[in-house]
Amino acid sequence: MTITFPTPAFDTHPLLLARRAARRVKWAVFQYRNAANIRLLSQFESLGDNCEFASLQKGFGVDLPGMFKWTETSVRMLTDTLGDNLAGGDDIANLKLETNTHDGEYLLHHRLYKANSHTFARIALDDPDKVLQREHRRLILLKRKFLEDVQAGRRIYVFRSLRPVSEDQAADLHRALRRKGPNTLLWIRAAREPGHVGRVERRADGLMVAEIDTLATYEDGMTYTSRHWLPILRKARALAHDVRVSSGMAA
Amino acid sequence: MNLLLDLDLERVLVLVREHVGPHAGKLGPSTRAADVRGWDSVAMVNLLFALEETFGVEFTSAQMERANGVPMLLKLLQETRSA
Repeated sequence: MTITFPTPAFDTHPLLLARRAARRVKWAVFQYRNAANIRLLSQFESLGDNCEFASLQKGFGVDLPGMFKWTETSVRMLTDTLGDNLAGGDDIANLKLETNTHDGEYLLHHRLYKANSHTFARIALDDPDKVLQREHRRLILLKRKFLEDVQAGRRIYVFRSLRPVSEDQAADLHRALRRKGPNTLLWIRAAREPGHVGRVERRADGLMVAEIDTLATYEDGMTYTSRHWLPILRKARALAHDVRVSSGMAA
Repeated sequence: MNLLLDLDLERVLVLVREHVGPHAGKLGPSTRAADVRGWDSVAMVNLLFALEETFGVEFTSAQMERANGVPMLLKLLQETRSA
């Protein structure tokens, strides 16, 4: 049995109905755009430097597991560790918790990488032995995942650097990735001229360079400020897709 | 078969609570990670590792990326067993 209630007259006022319809259309457009952004961002993986790109992805609801996304990496460290198949990357002997941090979070120091990662564990609340054990287990899984992904060439890897990185260093990192599989590297650097902001160029098969107006600092890496990120990623995806289609690699 | 699934669900929920933390709130067979405070990729990786240990399975990278809540975790466990 269905119970129907009488609809108040004001509910059927044409102006009100039109406003509701407009709101629904606006919401549908937002959802559509958001879904497109999620699809876009899911195709990239951060190689670190700082947490800006991972924060951008998370801000749009894309939070996939990633080996280096919360790590302060350097281009040299990445090139070397890729060359060694991430040997020692998940060895507990290389891990140490830093407790002398300014915001009360344990940082994971990797002796081999000479790099710190976020643990998101609180010094005041969490037991250090348990945190270290947990980080070790996480690295075992993430290393396995990373190696599987680079062999399959599933992602466009993003390396943004506030510190100066030379063309040769970027090319070395690109070569290290390509030795593992058909990978694409998107190197993001600060624009050298205002007119270059948003530019994405293909330097070699699987290597792109993009220029952006601002990059988050190392002290403020959990933020992203530039509005050029998404347009850059769209251009990079299109460039990478064109190359894949022309080489018969598109899915 | 249903008993096996119920047991899996119970063990999965215990592990989710353990790895997502005290903020997890009420968990059930249809809980999605996006709806639970603290169930981010860091917690998910810890949880996937624990699931591999507990159930003696190994997830592929693509499976790890599909893990987005309790229903999918149960599905992934079934997939890895039947593989």
